[in-house]
Amino acid sequence: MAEQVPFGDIGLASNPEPRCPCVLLLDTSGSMAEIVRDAGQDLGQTRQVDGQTYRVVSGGVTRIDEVNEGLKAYQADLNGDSLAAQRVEVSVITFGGTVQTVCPFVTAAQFTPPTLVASGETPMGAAILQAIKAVTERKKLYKQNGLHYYRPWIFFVTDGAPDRDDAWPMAAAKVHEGEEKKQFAFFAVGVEGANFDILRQICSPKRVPLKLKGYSFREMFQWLSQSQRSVSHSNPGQEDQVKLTPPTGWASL
Amino acid sequence: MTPPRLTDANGRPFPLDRLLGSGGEGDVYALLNDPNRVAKVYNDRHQPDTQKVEKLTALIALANPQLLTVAAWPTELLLHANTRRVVGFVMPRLVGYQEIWQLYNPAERLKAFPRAGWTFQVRAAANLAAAFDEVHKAGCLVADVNMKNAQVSAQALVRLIDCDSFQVRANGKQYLCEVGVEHYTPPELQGKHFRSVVRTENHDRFGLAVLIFQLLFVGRHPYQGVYEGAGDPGFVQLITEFRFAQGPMAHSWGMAPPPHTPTFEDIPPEVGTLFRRAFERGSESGTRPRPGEWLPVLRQLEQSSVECAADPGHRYWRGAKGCVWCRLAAKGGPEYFFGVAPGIGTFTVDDAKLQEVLRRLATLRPTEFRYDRNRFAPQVPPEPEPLTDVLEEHQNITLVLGIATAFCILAMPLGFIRKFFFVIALLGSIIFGIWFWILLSRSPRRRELRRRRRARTHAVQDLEVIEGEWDRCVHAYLRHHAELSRWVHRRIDECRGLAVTFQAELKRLTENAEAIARQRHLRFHLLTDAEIPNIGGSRKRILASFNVITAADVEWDKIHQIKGFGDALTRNLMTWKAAVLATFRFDPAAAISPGEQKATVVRFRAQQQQFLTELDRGLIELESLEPACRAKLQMLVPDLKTAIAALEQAEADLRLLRRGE
Repeated sequence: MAEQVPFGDIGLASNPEPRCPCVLLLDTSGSMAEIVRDAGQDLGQTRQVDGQTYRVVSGGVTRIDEVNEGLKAYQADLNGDSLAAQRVEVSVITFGGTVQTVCPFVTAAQFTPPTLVASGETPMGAAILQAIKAVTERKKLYKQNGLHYYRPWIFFVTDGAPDRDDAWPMAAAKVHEGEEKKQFAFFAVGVEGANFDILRQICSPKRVPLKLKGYSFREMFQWLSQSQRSVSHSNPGQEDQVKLTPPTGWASL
Repeated sequence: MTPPRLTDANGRPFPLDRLLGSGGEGDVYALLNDPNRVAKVYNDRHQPDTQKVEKLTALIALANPQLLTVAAWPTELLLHANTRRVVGFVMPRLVGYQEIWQLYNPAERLKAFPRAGWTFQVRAAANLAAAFDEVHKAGCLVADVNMKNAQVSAQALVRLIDCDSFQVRANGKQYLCEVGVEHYTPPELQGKHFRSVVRTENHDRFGLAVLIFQLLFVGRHPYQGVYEGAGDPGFVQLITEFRFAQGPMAHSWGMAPPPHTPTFEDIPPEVGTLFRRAFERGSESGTRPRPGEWLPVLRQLEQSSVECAADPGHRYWRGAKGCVWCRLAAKGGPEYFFGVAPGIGTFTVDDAKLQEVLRRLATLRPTEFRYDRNRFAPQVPPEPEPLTDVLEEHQNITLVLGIATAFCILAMPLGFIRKFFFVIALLGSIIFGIWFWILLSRSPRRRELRRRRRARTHAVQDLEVIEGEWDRCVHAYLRHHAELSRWVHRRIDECRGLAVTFQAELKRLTENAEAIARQRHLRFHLLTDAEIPNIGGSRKRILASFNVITAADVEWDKIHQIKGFGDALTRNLMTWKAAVLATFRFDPAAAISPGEQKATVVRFRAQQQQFLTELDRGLIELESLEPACRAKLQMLVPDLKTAIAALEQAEADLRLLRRGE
């Protein structure tokens, strides 16, 4: 088969800015459909989702709704800074039942926030491996096009534990190796209900998992866009020296 | 936020107007009654210390009319009215200037400088050099050269900003610049701490050369290229190792220009020489071109540029081999200067090119590679392996014994005459029979038959393996061919579909524009100016206190909630809003801004170009399938011939043996 070049090849050439790639690796398993506020009437039914029993209610705002809102704010904030909009590249990969690349890498200027839907189990390990692969391939493309790049970010958000037989131990090994070789920075955020024991094993000891305060996804994404804006204005290779604002508004260690 | 109360250096009150913007270090305010200057006031975290105040004082002392036309140079100190401490300064105001990266980045340029062609950038480069020249003449250095602190106007005029961070020499003292951006920091300073580094003009010249390079080379950085060596060096390392990606020597240090960009062939040799002096090893010893050296060379380049015959928006150096922008686009690169010439253009699918693809595809019908065993059979039929004499002899003895056994069995009825004959015949038939049976079962002929049969079976199997391989090759080829053909057709459909997507995109933009225009129209209609039944001045004041000020703010739920506004009054307001809306006129033709439409057109053209490039690659691969398969099959031919010859031999051998039966 002819080697297929993803669209953006020409986009890569017409935008000479050094790139700041970021994979948003988001949990869309069934538990993300849990209602967090404004719940309506209890319909008196229960349902088994993602290993837990839930009561069914009408209306309400779910975790995934909050994530979708957060994504919109994230996109808007990045585009408020025209240099960051040309430098930050976003890809969205979700895992809920299956691992899906909802949005391949595009510059923030071209990014349209998707509307995610929650369902299915939590194939965490496979998702992490796919994110690492996406980052590796993107870097290859940058090199072919003679573009410079900042260390890629993988921003991993979950509210659960990996499925049984999940490849998370292998993913953890790859995360440790990648962090060690400075191939990417892996940030993990656990939402209420996440298995922090496993998250700690996945993360590099240098970057411990953060615990989301309540469901402040919007604040989390705002922090992310602000951090990426400051990184994208810093010097490639020196991102470590950029002081990221502490994530105190929305997370605890 | 109310502006702080300030005084000038002589203690006279210095009133500020509104806040214009905020940066990392402080805020910038407009001045009352002075549209040409602004005030920068440091925030609490960056209050100037004694050093900084001395530096500002020195800068102000250096100010002259030339500097004021090329930089936002400080002209006056500002003091806090109460503490009498220096908290800021006055500088010229820049209106309509944009950051220089918005000009050299082709994607951003389409929005920020939609009419700027290549010569506009050459002019900006020369003006930038002139600005640096003035700063250097004053004994100062820009020091923190970067993509944002040079700004460009719509006339390609360049102004330097952030002058308070310049490196200044005054009264025998050096006031350093403590920051820097790696892209614009020369190799010899990479990794150094700027707090303690006294920079030289040669360092500043590096930053200048990088910006000029970016303006001339579609935004690429001089050390941004394809690295051909081992490992994966980061950007800082490439700079530190002087790996300049352009010029005749680049290959010797393992670099090649990035794809889809101009090269040294597209600029005059004098300009190339200056770049080499700026970026190649040895430049650290002070040989980088002075700002004044760039000026004549860049002016000459601007004058010697010509317009492309195909697109008046393309301008290029007369000495190049044809239009560089047409060449890059033709080779699958971006259309860097599309639509720079007046006329926005629209997007149409290039059906002629797609037809061409289809024509090429039609010539690429799959070859069947039909297999015919006879084609590979030996021309002369094989000579069968002769039978040995032992076979004959053995056959004769067996025959005799067979006859003897039969004779003895036939002789048994003689037992009716005498019992003795029966015993003899029985014994004879048993002895001869066993002997006959032994000879028969151990017959060399049978053994030979088995051997030859086995040989044939093996030959058949060997041949089947090779023929299987042949079939697999042909099948893989046909499958591959079919897949690729299907892919090409799909891509063509997608490419044609771009026309529809484009129209949808324009419609979306128009709709957005309409919504925005409608909202603006509503906002122009103030409640205070309107005559609405039963809504007098006091009711209007109540509404204003609920932030209902224009027609845009009038909404049923919002009004109805306000105490004292029942159905009747709310309805009156809604009627007024409807009347305002009725006067709204929208012109879809003028809805989308030229910049927006152009950006959309460029995006779609780029996507189409991408598809065409992919289609071309797909066809090239399709063309290569047939010869590749043919070559693979050719490799099988010697083995095939050997196997067929072996089979024919085995069959001939077997036939010879059977003929004797």
